[in-house]
Amino acid sequence: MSRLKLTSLLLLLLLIGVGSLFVGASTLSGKQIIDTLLHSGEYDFIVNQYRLPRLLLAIGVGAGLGLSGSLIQGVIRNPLASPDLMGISAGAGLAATSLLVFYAAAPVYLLLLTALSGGLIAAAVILLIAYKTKPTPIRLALIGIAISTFLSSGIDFLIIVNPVEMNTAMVWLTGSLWGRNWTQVPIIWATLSVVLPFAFWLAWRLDVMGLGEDCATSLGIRPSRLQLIALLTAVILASISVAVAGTIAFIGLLAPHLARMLFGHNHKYLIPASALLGALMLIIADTLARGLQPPLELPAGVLTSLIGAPYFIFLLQRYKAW
Amino acid sequence: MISTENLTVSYGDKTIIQDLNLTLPKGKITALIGPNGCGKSTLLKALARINKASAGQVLLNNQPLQAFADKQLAQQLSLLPQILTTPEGVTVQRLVEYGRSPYISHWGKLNNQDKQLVNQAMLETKVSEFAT
Repeated sequence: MSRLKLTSLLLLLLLIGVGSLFVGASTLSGKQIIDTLLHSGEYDFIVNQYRLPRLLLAIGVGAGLGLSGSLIQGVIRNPLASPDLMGISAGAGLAATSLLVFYAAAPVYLLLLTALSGGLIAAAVILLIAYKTKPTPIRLALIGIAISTFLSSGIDFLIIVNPVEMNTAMVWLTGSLWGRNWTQVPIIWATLSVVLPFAFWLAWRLDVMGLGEDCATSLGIRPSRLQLIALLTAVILASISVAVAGTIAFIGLLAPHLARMLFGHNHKYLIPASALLGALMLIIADTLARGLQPPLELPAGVLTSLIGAPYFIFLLQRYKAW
Repeated sequence: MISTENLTVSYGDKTIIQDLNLTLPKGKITALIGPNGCGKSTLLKALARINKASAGQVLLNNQPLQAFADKQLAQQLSLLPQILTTPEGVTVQRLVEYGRSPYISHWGKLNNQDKQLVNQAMLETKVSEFAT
């Protein structure tokens, strides 16, 4: 049953993905697009250099964010946790903005490393606070939002004091797939293929961790090591996503929730489903972003926030018990 | 057989168990009796390597617990805590399957023998009817 649902999700992803190639400022027929995909030609730029890499990026980044969210929620056991609400995305964003402001021509690997260190530091800070104060899930979310806001104001500050350099950083930060091309595609896909085996290795263990740490230890799992691996994986995914597409809000929160609604609590299905749903959401958001009013481009991150923010408020209301 | 050698367990500055030498005989059921808060659970957790010993050591079949890999230890030693959080959305069958954790592969896949053992355990404890 769950397998069937996963397969249908994958098919839906392919379908919408192919569909998204049709959307944009210039209208192309199916034949033109297929021709171009197979042997380039007149529309090579629009299809092969513009829409296709964007599609592949949307899949990679969306999957990365969804996966990151499902791992964070699984290991912290907090349905309000996600890479953006925990300040990880903002940490990666602030670090990368600083780099771009002071060194606009930074090579890609440096941007990746900087974003990653920013994400790791932010994660370390919030975990340290969580370790000291043992907050309830809702408090942890609040701490995360506070840190996130603080870091975002750092980003704003950098942009305001460096108006000349701000263009690169600004375009990159809005959380958009606009202006991305083939250079970013292998980055996110390589990250995913390295990290995915870890995610599946974690699946069964995260399930068992649901019994509590003592019981999990007694079943041959070392909770501290498991948590470290899961969080590292999640932070890497979220930071690289930010480095590739800027901060795209709420996919890391929404995708795992939707996955849980559809697949229940078994991480073996929850993990791939979160990745697929994250990818699906970002493709839809990005397609709408460039298709709603062409040639005007909206940042995809704005669209994900439009759905994500109300859902977050709904979640906060529903968990009154906290 | 489980034994301890000069086992000391502390939480922070507070020492709960000091210099304990204990042998739990093989093939017998041992009951640990004492008032609330006297350290029964602390001792059990130390015996199961959940709590670290601050001094001394715990031996399982005359080997220190540190010598065992996580899964290897879990195959021989098991602790069922008093309060067990039941994760949301888990069937009884799956809960029993978790018991195979120390034996299964990296990917958490149960083979036929595992499934058979799970069924057998559920039959013997008469919980098969609650499986799903």
